Amino acid sequence: MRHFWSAFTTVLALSACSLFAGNGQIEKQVHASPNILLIMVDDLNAYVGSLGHPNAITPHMDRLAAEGVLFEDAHCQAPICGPSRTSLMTGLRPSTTGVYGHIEDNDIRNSSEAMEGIAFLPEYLKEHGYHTMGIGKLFHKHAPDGLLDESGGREPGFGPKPADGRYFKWKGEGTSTDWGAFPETDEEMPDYESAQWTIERLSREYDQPFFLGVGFLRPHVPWYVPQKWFDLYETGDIVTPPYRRDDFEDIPDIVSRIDNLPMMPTTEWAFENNEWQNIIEAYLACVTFVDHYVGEILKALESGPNADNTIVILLSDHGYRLGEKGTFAKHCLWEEGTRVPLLFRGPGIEAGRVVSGPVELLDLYPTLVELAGLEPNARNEGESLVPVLCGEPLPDDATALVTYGRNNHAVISKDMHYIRWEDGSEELYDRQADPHAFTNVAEDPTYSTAKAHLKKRLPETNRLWAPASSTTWPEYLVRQRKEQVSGL
Amino acid sequence: MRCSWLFVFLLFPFLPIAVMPHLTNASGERPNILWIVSEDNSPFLASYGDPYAVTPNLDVLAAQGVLYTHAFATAPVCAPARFTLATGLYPTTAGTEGMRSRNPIPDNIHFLSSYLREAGYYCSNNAKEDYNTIKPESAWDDSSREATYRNCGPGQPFFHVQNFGVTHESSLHKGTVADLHDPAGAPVPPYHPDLPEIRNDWAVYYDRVTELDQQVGDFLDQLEEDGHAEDTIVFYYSDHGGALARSKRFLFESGLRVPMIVHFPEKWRHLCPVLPGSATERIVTFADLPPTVLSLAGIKPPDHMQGRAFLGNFADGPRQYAYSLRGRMDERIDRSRTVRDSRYRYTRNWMPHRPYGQFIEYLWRAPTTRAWHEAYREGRVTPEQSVFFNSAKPAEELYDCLADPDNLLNLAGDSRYVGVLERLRDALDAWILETRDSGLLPEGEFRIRIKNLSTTGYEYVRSENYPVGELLHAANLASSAGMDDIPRLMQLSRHKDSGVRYWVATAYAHLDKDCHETRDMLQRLLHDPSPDVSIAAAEALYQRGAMNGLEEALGLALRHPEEMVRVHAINVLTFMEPDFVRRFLPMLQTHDGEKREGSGYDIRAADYLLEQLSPPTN
Repeated sequence: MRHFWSAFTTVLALSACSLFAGNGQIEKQVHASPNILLIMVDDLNAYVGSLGHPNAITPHMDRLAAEGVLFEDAHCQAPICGPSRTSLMTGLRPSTTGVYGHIEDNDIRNSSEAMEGIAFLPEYLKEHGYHTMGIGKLFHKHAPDGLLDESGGREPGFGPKPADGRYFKWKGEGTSTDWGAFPETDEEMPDYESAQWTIERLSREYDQPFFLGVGFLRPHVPWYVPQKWFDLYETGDIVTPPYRRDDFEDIPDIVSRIDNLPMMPTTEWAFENNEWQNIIEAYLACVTFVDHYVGEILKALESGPNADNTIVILLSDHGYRLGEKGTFAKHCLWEEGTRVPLLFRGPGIEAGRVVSGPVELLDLYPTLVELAGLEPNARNEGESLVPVLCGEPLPDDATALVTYGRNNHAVISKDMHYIRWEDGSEELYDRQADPHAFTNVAEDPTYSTAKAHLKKRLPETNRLWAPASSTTWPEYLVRQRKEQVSGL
Repeated sequence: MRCSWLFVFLLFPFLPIAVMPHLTNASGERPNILWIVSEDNSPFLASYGDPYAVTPNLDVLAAQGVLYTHAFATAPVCAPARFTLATGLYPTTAGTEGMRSRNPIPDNIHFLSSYLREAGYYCSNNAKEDYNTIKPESAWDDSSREATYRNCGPGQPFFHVQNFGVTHESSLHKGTVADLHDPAGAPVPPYHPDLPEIRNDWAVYYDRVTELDQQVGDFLDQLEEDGHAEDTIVFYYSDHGGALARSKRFLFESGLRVPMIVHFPEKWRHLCPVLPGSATERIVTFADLPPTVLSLAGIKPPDHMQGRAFLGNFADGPRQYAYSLRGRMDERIDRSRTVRDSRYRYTRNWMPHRPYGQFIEYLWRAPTTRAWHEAYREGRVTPEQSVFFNSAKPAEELYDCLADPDNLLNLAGDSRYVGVLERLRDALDAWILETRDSGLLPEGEFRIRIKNLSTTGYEYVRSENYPVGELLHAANLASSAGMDDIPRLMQLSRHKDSGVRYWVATAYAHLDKDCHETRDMLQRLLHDPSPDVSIAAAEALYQRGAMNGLEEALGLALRHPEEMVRVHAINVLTFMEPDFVRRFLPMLQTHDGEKREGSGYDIRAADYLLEQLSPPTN
């Protein structure tokens, strides 16, 4: 019986796909909409095995990629948590909403006119018959009150810390950046709790299709996980990424003001103090820790009653620099800050496909709506990736748009990475020839056509800062917000 | 990581103050600068990831310094490359791209070392010069086999160039058997046939690189014993790539990419552009070395220098493109230009009707070249091993050096790379125009003009008399010309500059067009006042079997007082049938006649031609 059902689902899902590919319209599906399991990993960059990192131990994420579609060039819409998550949950760009900084979950709905009447992704699903559940960091904190039918909440902060304000290697004002083996056991970690809660929810049977979100906190700082996760790595074998002291000679002055994060360790510091490999090892230990619990969740799903009709999505909210471009932080419009893993697996989704062109996290909302067989939400600014998930190629001229603060944007195409700052200054990198973005060719006339093309993809509106969103650094963006909020 | 709580309070971090290191020395002290220069070797170093190399001393230098993965020579052969190293100018900006030549530079353009001497540096060179121009009196305090930094005054900073010749191509000419390196493990590239001679040459060459490494190690030990290790910024690089056939002299990665390591002592470590011990992909070329040395010495590089400093007070942003050139190699004429970005190499060949592997006496001294050529003639090679000796080459080449470091797969005709090709083509043309490329004229014509005008090549190409734009247009058109371009070529055949007319004539060496109008036009060019136009027209007419007047025109060229005109004529004869060439025997047999003025490239070229003519003696 079980076997029969599995085959039946697959056939139905595939036929939905082929119908779509034929006429651009999805058939109203007769069978139940699929369940959605959304796994959000905080601050996870491309240090993942299936994305090519030489050290990363991520067997479960790699398996997910092998069984589904891996977008290897996916980008967030903002390189910090709050605005990135707000964007993917509302389906709106930061430039549309003015949410450029962090924001309380309950304040999002009324943060700007653009938000009026907006349905958050789980809310839209709920309105269309889904049972919604979630635990951990889904929005900036957890989720707006009352949004989810069942909430596992979130333990405040980012997990246990040594007592009395002690730390291992680093104390910076306003950051919990530090690294070391702590605590003793996984059971002390909030992510462990989140995984158990999710596993339990997956063991149940539901009358309705469900949305289940789990937001892992690691590898967000502090990079603390128990010793056993460090033991998987050999410090001396950790590959440090390319870094050049002379890298900033050819970039606009504004970058030195925006990329000003004095509370973070610099690459110079890490090198001088022989900590660079240790930091990456700690980060990777956190990644492997999360990967393990991703594996536990997948196991629970696959051995439970929802195995055959659940789509699994794994993503991160933005990238993270681990010594690239001089520091250890997110907060930038370069690829290290914008690129994220994005994986889909489930009925009807091709297995083992790797999509190499740029896509946006903003595409998640319309994609899930279409996979659920629902009417599209006209407010969505992203594009559904369902055709791509069903085997269509991504258009050659696809771009991703990333925004950091107001009117600072990156436009990323397959070949180029263009950054335009609010003062009009520019950076342009040839992604094929210069994958580490060391040489700014914005002024090079041989790239003027390519640049003009990307420039057209900048947003038409750049809403002023929504007062409810804010940031504590860098100083430049604090001032930008202050001027715009007080000017209202 | 093995972290214990015990260490926590001992490891209070330094407060991070600034990301960028300060690029000045507060005390105003100036570093010594040492160039260690080897000859002809590509990056055959273990520190470049070459598993066959044994180079412990250079690897230590790299482990403490910065290793440049994208360092390029401006020319793939000694003298033009060394011209750039001495002056900071591309040889094509001064008429010094031919290997070798002696065209002078203007008095107001000094050598790098002259500027350093003016600023108080002691400058010494041991010992190879080979600058491809006339060395100014002011160049060195000492340039000889005895030259040493030890002769600097008390407290005087020095700039010393130490050349090591052990890896020169000629080390393959001695019939040596490999010693340290086992030929069985030699990394024979796919463009070479796997023959015992070639394996042995590769192994012998790696032996020489190891020997070089030892010499460098000894020299650096000496520097330390002399108490200068802590005051001296050390550069190591090779003067171009090589040295087995299809590397040195050719515009492939194998001929242009060089090892380059810069080592900073503790005191100057803040100047290191990366974290010490790491590599940088920043593109640097020989044009950047003179301004960089001046910058490190605190001297603003003069405006005429064409590269950009990559270290020190006057460091500039990174360059996007590295440009290089190929002109005449000894007795053999060819002309190509190339541009490399961090991934792709685009090359423009202005003489596509000539093979890559034209006979060059010196190149044929190596067992590799002879064994490969023989295998080629006997058909014992693969298609990719044939390209080098085939009778023609493409007008444009494009390689993805990341995927194809040996430059085997020409992507120039691949529609997927049109964007890359056009971008690089534009960049190359812009460079040619900006530097006013002197190689757009035949070398003989160029020499005649600067002699008649009593000027230097550098000044001439910058004068209004030098129509660089029209010459470039003609050269590009001629090398890629198809049937649609014939009206334009006919029009240009009456251009007032003989250089443009020369390119028109060369186009007909590969264009398959024959009619009365073509012959009339070529006949007119055969009687052109410029001997180089006449020679090129003779070749085109010969290919069409239109022999009228050829003997007279080529005979005149062979007796021309300008050596490069004679070399041009002999080059053209090399591609003609023996029966025709025999008519010129008296003029070619220079050994019996008067000794001619010049460097003897005409004699070398003629010797080869005579050898081809002579039937096996009884």
